[in-house]
Amino acid sequence: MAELLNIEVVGGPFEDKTHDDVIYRLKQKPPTVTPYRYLVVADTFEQLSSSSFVPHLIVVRDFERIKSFIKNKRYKSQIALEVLLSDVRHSEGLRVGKWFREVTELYKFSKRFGYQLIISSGATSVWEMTSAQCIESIMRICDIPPQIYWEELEDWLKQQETPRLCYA
Amino acid sequence: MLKRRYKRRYIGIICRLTVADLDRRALFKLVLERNSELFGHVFNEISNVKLARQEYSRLIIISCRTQSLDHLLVSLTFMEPVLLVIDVSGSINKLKKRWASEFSSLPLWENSANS
Repeated sequence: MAELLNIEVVGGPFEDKTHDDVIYRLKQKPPTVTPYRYLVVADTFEQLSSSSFVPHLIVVRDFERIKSFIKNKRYKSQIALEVLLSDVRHSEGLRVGKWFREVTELYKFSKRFGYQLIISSGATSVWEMTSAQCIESIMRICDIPPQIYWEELEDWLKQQETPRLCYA
Repeated sequence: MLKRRYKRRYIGIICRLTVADLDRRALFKLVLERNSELFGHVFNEISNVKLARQEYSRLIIISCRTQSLDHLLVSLTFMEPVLLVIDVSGSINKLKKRWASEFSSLPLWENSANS
């Protein structure tokens, strides 16, 4: 289905079976080398408050709070800031409008500090998936050039690649 | 006087089974309402959004002016009930062909009853 919606790689929670074209979202870095691709995701401030915890990706819900937190924290690695469509998908117009302004500002912020912005559907089922074309439309409204966005995202994902266990 | 028709884009959307009993015209009305809510009544009128005649039971095709495509896609993304935008084309016939060859056989319909 993702392929038909022009999405090459999807992110998802870790399950017993792993697939090559899925990047798994983990809450903690695994203690050993894994055979699958993963990203360590922080979606609460409690997780971030631990000084030793460095995520690959932070889910942004409270835009202002996260911006001031990141300014103080100054991560050395190039982390990503992820916004989820599912957070505002069914909200009223005013809330959606505010979200668009916040994403526009977050993109400028992430550019300034060298972080990667990720716009994600936040889908938990096929029906909540968003096609690449719709995501690009959202980008254009937020003054984000889609071509540059996809290129930077691809580079960022390559940088996050960790050595993987291969079965011979 | 120069008489030139503006270009249109055709958007193929599908809706999950649980809301399939919702009439497609009622669904189209909801799309217009959401488009108005997000981008304003004037923009909604200028977009000239239309509902195409139904030929496939699951596929709903709506069209709009090319220049309004991004905004309409955003409105469709932020819709309740959830709609899945599966294809966009400059020609309604191409859209129908692609639907028939690529999408109509998807096993979505069985799964959606439980999801």
